[in-house]
Amino acid sequence: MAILYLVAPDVDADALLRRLQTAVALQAQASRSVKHVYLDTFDWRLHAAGWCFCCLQEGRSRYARLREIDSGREVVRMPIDRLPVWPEDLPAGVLRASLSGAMSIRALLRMADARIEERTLELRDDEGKLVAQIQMRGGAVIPAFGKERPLPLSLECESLRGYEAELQRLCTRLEEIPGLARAAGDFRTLALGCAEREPGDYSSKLDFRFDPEQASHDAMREIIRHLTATMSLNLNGIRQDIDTEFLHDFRVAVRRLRSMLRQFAEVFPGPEYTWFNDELRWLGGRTGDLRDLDVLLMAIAKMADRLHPAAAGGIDDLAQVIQRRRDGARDSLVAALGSARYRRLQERLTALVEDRGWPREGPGLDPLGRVVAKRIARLHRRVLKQGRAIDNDSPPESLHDLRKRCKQLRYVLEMFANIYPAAIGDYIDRLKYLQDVLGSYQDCAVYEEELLQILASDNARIPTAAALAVGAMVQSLESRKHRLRRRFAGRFERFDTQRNNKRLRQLLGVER
Amino acid sequence: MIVVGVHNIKGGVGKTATAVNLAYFAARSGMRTLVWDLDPQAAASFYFRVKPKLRGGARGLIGREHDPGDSIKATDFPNLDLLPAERSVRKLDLLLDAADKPGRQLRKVLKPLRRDYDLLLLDCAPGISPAVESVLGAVDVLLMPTIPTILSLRTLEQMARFCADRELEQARRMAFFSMVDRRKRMHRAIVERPPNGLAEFLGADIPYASDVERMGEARAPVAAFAPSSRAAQAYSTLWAALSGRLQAPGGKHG
Repeated sequence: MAILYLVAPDVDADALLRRLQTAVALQAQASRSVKHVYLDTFDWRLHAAGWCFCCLQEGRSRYARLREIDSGREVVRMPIDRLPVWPEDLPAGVLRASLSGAMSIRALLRMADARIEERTLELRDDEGKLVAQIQMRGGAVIPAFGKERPLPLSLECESLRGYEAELQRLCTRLEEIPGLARAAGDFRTLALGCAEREPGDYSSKLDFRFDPEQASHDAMREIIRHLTATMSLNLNGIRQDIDTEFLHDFRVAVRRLRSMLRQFAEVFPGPEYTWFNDELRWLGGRTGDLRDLDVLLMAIAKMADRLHPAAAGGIDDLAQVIQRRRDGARDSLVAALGSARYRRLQERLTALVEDRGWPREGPGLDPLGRVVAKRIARLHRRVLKQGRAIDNDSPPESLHDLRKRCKQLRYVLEMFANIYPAAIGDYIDRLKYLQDVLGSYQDCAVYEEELLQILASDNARIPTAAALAVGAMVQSLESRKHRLRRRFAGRFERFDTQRNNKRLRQLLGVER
Repeated sequence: MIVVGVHNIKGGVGKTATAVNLAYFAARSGMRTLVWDLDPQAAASFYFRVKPKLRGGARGLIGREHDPGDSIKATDFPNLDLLPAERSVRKLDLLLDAADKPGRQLRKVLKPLRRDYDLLLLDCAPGISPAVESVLGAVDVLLMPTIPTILSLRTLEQMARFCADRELEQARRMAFFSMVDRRKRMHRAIVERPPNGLAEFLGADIPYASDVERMGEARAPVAAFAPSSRAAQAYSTLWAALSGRLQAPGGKHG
């Protein structure tokens, strides 16, 4: 583990060093200048997986260091040529495999850069063996914009495998020295804090804590605040095309916002509702093309394994065709996000959050629990009605419509999950199970449509191999759609049970 | 995890220096490396300044009453750890001889280490014994430092026969010339024309050098205290030759 001590600002560093050398018998090595770059994905996936990943540069030497956060154990230290963005930028090995498993499809970002003056203090036993070491560090954090921010002087004690007891004894001695205060976290936590970052400070997951008795419009405002912040936070990543998930999170936020407006229209200021609904629909439309192409690229890479080798050979050509379309869609989206129309939407969402124009009476003041329960019950009834009407002859649009309805229900459940008992989890699981087959069916339909569109497009000039790949994939998708359609009935039956329906009513406290 | 056993029937050929110095370069290259000191002389433990102590002793390890991870110590070098020897290791032969299928015992003991390390170097005691049989059953590569003399080459023949007799052929047998004195005609002749069929010769030899002997004084790998020395350069070349072979598919012996 790593244990961090902060040095009080009025403590002289040289005097402290002398004290550490005499009182604790530490041997000081020469001071050196090191640059630390802490890397993680935008949503802190490495941190969530228990890793701290840092690239250090000392002179011309650069190396990557992966450490377990809990134990402080260094898992990998290896020389690198340049800062990685993707695991594939690293040679095959444990580091690449560990990062790949945690990061999935997200890119690495620089969360904090620090310019450090570092001195290693070593504790050795009677054999001269190193049994513990302290990194004494001062310096500054280098933000992306603006001036450097100074880091307080700190001592980070690092344990060595097999010498944990020695580290504990060392720390006991350190705690007797005035001017040293044990801090939470490690040096990375300190550097991130100076850069005004904290692991986990961005997540796309919802974690609202509502009171069922609070006024509905208070809750709605908090939701709008969170979702508009999510949109803003992801803008830069979309503009710079860092990875596909910035757009995904942005779109989910827009959909949730639009869904919430529709489900709780009565809570909102009257005329505003229509305007917001139209503008969010516009925004959703502008983001759709790029997202669809991103997903299609990922999908064809996966489908390639299942194709006949003759068709699979055209995948690269097809990917290039799709990539060109994607570049166009991205340019169009970036232009939309820089437009006056989008700026106006952002401004008015901000104003909505700041409590301008909300009605001071009416349904907005109703207790949240009651309003949400009614909405969930209504959406549940609609899902049942739509689902029960679907049979083997129903057109594909009926599954698509049901999918949209399920999504509306799921968004409401996710936003207000905390006001219901944990037992609602079972209901949500059954809904997810139903949504999985509907979502997969819709995905197949969308991929098919896009691939056929590409094939039909005069401007595409599809190479023959790519056209062959499209044909094979469309066939594969059609087969998969049939299989998924057959699964639908069973999945819906599992959702539409007397027990499930009754339990929901009990959880919501509503009558039939 | 790749397991390399460093062994020769003869003692004093540079086994421990090989294990320690190759481990140093492996760790520097980014491989998570462990040296297991299986020699009761505990020379590797001495070089790394680690006190000889095994939780539960050799009996506890072989009987799998204790996880080998509980006794591992970090060395002074990043990425490089040591499982030290202690006096009880001298009983290893007795323990393995009494065990069911001694050829497989060590492999079972190594299993918990596979997650944490990329490379394990076993610094073996000299001779032919149940312990060596167990090593042969556990390693991917048997690396044999060999002094370029006629008698030393005979040990390679003996090892080849031992492996064949015990049907322990799955390990790749590799060798290199150690303590080479190019002033000696016999050394030159043997190094220039190594024998076929006994082992894969790595083509990188280690000179007889006082810096290697100074390891006992410095208590560190050669490259740590004499990075520009001929010996350090030679071990670096040896590591490059070995790591290149480890990444290539298995070749025939010689």
